Amino acid sequence: MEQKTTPPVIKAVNLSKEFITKKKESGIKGAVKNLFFAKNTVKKAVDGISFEVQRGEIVGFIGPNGAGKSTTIKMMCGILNPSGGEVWINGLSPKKDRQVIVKDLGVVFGQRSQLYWDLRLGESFELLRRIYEVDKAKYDATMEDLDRILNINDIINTPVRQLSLGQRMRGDLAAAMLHSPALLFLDEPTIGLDVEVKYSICKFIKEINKKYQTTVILTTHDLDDVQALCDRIIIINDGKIVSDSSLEDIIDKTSPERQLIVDLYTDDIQLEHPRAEVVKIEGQRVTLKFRKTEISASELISYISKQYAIRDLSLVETDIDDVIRQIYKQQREPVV
Amino acid sequence: MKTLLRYFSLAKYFLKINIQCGLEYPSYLISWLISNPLQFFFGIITVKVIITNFHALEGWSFEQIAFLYGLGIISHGLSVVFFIQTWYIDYMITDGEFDRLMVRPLNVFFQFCFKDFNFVGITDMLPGLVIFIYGCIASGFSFTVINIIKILLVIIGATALRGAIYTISGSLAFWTKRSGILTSVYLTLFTYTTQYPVSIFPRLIQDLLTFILPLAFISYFPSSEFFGIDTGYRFMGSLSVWTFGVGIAFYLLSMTVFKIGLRRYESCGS
Repeated sequence: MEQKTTPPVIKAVNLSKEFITKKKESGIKGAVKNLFFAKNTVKKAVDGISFEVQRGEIVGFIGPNGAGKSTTIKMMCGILNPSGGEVWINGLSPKKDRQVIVKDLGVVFGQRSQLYWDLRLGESFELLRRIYEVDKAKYDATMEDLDRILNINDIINTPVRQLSLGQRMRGDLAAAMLHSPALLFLDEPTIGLDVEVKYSICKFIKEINKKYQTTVILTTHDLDDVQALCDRIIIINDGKIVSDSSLEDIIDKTSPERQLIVDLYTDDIQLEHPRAEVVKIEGQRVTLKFRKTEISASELISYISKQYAIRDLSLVETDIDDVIRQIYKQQREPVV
Repeated sequence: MKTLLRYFSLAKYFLKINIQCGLEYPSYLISWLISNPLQFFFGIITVKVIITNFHALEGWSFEQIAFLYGLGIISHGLSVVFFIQTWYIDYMITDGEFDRLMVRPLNVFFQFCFKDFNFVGITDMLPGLVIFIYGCIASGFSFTVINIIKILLVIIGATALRGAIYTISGSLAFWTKRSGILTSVYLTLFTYTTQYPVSIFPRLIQDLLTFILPLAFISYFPSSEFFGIDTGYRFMGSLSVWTFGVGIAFYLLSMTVFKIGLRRYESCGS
C-alpha cells in the first residue's frame, strides 16, 4: 500500500450523535401528563457516518432539513461531543484539543454573524486579529488579498448594522479567513443572497482554495453553489451518508430524464414513442421526457421530424434538483 | 504567564469595544442616568419616612441605614456593569451564541465574562455612592486606612457574590433552556435583603441569609461591624474579610457550575 505523506484533514469513523427528546402528547391533558410521565425517546441525528477529507478538497454536504448536516459540522468543530465513534481534525480530537484545533479553523454560520453589530467592520477584524494572534504584517497582507476578492475596503468603515445582507456576508467570510485557517466550515453561506453576491462568494471560495489549498466544507441547499464549487458531494439523509461522490457520478448513476421541447406548426399533435414519454402538449408545443441511456436526442428529433415539421426546439438537461430529490426519495422508499 | 498577559490584553480590548458600543447610543445612557437614580432616592426617602414616623429599625438609625443602603447599591451597580450577560444565558443558548464562542481559541468562560460590559450599570451605582457618602459622614464613620481597605474588600466580595448568584442561576439554562425569570426573582430578593438590616426578618430567614444563601454578607454584616451593632451571630475575625471570602468562594463555585453546564451543552446542543 502506498504510504500517504499527509494525514487526512478530517477523518470520521462511525461518527454518531444521539439526542434524547421527550415525547410529548398533544392537548392540555397531554401537557399535564408530560409533566409527570414524559417518555424519553432517543433520536439519532447522526447515525454512524465515516468519511475522510484530504487537504485542498471542497466538499459539499447536502441533505434535507434535519438530515444531520449541522450536527456533523458541530461535532467537527468541537461544539458538540459525539455520542459514538470519533472524528479527528489533523489527527487531533476536537473533544480533547478544541482550543488547539479551532486556531486553524474558520467557521461561518450563514444565519448568524460574528461581527459586532454596533461598530464599524474594521473593529471586529481588529478584535479577531488579537484573538487569533495574527501579527500586523501578516494581517495587512491577508487583508489586501481579501480586499481584492471581496472588496472589503469599501465597507470596512461602515457600522455592521448598516451593511446589507450581502455586504455583511462578505464581512463574515473575511472575518473567518483573517487568521488564514487551513480548514473552513461554511454553514449555508449563501442563504438569502442575490445572484451577484452569490457569484462573488463562490469566486472567493474557489480562489482561497486554489491559492492557499484551504480545505472547504460547505453545507447548502443551493445546488447551484454545489455545482459551481464542489469536487465532491456527500449527501446525508436521516443521519446516514447515502452518497459520496462527484456530481457527474451522481447524475450518471441516477440517470434521470432529460427533456426535449419541440415547437411545431400544428396544434393537432399525435405523438408516441416507445422510449420517450410525452409529458404535455400545449398548443403547438410538445414536451417529451427521455433517458440518455435509452435514446439519444438526435434519434428522437429525427423521429419527430419524420411526422411533423419542426419550427424550433430546445433540450433541457438534467435538473440537479431533480437528481437530488430522487436520491432523497429513494432513501425514503427503499427498493426491496 | 504568557497566557495570562494575553488574556489581560484581550480583556482590555473587549472593554474598549464595549465602551465604543455603549457610546453609539448616548441618549439611551442618558435616559437611564435620569431614571435609575430616581428609583434609589425614592427608596431611601421611604426609609426616612418610616423611621421619623415610627422608631429606629431594630436599633439602626437612619444614618446607619443610609450607609448600609448605599453600600448595597454600590455592589449592585458594579454587578450590573460586570455580570449583565448572566441574565441572558438562556437567550445566548437558544440563539446559538455559545457555538460562536466555542470555535474561538479562547476559554469560553473568559469570553462569556468579557463579552458585555454594561455601562448603564454606572447609573445604578452613582446614587448608591451619594447615599453611601452621606451615610458615612452623617453616622460619623471614620476614614482610617484599615476601614477604607475593609470597605474595598466588602465591595469586591459583595460584587463577586452577586455575580456568582447570577451566574449560577443563569447557568441553569443549560439544563432548562429558560432561566430569565430566576434573575428577576433574585433582583427582588437582593433589594429586600441588602437595602435594610436583615435583623428585621424572623430568625429563621436570618439563618437562611447567613448560612445558605449568604446575602447578609453583602451589606448587613459589614455595616454592623463598622457600627458595632450586635447581630446575634458570632464570626471569627473581621466581617468585612468574611464578605470578601464568601464572595470569592461563591464565584469559584459559580465557575464550576458554568463549566458543568457547558459540558451539558456540548452533549445536547441548542
